[in-house]
Amino acid sequence: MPSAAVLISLLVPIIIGFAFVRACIPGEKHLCRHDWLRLCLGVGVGFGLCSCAFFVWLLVYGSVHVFYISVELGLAIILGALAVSRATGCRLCRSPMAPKTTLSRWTHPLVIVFVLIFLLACMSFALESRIHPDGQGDAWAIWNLRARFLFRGGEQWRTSFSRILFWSHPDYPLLLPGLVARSWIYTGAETRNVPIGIAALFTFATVGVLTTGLYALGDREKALLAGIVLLGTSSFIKLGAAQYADVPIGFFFLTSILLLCMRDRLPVSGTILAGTSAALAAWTKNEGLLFFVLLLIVMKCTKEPVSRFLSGAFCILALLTMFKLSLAPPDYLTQNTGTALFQDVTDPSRYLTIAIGFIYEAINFGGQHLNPLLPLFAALFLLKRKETRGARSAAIILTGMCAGVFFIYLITPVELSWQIAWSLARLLLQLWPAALFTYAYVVDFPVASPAIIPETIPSSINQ
Amino acid sequence: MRGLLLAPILMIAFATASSVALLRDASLRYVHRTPQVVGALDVDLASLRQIVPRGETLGFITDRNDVEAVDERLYGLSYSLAPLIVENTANRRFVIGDFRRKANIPIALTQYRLRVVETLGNGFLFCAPQ
Repeated sequence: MPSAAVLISLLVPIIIGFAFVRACIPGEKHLCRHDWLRLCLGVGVGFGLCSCAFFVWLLVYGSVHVFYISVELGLAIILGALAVSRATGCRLCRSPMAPKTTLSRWTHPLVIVFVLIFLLACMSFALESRIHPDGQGDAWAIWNLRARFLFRGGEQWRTSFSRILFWSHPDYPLLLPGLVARSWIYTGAETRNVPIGIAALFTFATVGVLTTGLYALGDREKALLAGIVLLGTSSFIKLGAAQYADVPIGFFFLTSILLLCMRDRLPVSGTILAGTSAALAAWTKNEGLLFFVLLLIVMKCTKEPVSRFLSGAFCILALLTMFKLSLAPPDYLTQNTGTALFQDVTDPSRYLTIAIGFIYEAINFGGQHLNPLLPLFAALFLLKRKETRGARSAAIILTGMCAGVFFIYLITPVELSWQIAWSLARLLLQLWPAALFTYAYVVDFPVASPAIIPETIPSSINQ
Repeated sequence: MRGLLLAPILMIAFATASSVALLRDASLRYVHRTPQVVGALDVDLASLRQIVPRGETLGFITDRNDVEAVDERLYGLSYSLAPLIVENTANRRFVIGDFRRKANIPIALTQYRLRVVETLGNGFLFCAPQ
């Protein structure tokens, strides 16, 4: 029974998320191949929405209660009805397919390799989770600790934001703790399978969004290759199994950038979903705020209408503001002010230390002494590149994130070398799925000559 | 054209090698795993959560000298005792003592003017001011 409760606790947010995504990106009355993308998007978005709903419940009701389950079920019914009413046809199915490439003959072998590497990744994930059932480092010291406070704390759940617990970053937002605590309401006990299940779903949904997103943009083989590279990045799988929030935030970075690049193929409500996703990144970790601001700036600069984007983000940002102003203690970065801050910013040795840190992490990226950047760089020289507005925006955002991380290291009051060693690899992994998507979106395999493949797929075919 | 096929082959080779290496590494670590310290204290300290009122802040003293080890024990205690807060000080109504050596217990109790209320196991003592 407890495992059934765990399954239900994870299934309800997925249904909510799928319905929300289908309401924003309407589909056919029946399911089509793009519903795989909607499902993968729905996993993270549903988790985010349920976490927000749980926080609202805590603010209004004052403590955890089993009646909260009925709120989520109500939400699932309402969003499900909305999704059905908006099922007026899939615009993605009507978008033109990319012409067949030289890789088109390789589809079946690529699918087999993808499935095999997926199975290897699942086995590694399961073993890592058995070794560290409570998660590693930050997972238990920050996220699962706070989930315990919310679940066990009763009416005193606010004590989890005490300044005494400064080492557990009480200023961090509540996506993961809220999500874990609300799942424990379903199970009635603090089972470790909940955070493990959430971590697994976020990890593999990220792979799913990357693969199905690129497929929706037209090229199945490129999508499979990108999925294979992400599944083969061992540090990504390990970080997911460690239950860190860096994989969930990476999911939201990827989702927002994917929707930004797909906006020509989506209805305007797709932009609302992009806003929701970017705001959920900010609801996951403080880095998400930087991402949200960068995304907004890029949209403004490229003269994209931002009103719908902001309308999708509004409720979540309002909750985040309420959390930051009324519950969270000040961020540790605010400790560094005045002269100390000026000294740090003008100290050349700090620039050098950070630059060395970036170079070191780039060289050692991926873990297991197998750097996934190497085959990608090789491919960059061998293949053509196409310039699109979406890809340019994505590249600017990702570069801006790296610059933001650089600046945060510059002003951190914590010992610099220690902080770089502790966090930079994870911060780069947050950006990895979105960077991989941007890369795969930019590179182009040559179109197959008619002698090899006699026809291209007509745009009207709906597989 | 063959050069163009090199790119996907490189990516697949990298991903396969990396996945196999990760699985081998995880299998080895699983076989030789040691019991996780975090969460293991949950059972020992469950009774304490029933006794001490919610929202209470507990003190913490230890005979460990290594800062990293002290932090790890303090964070592990906080994880197991949540929603009780544990602070690295002896100036609280209730204090948790963490001792590796029995000989250090009377010295610490005298130094901080504490008395033992309950032995919690695993080197932990539940103390209160004398």
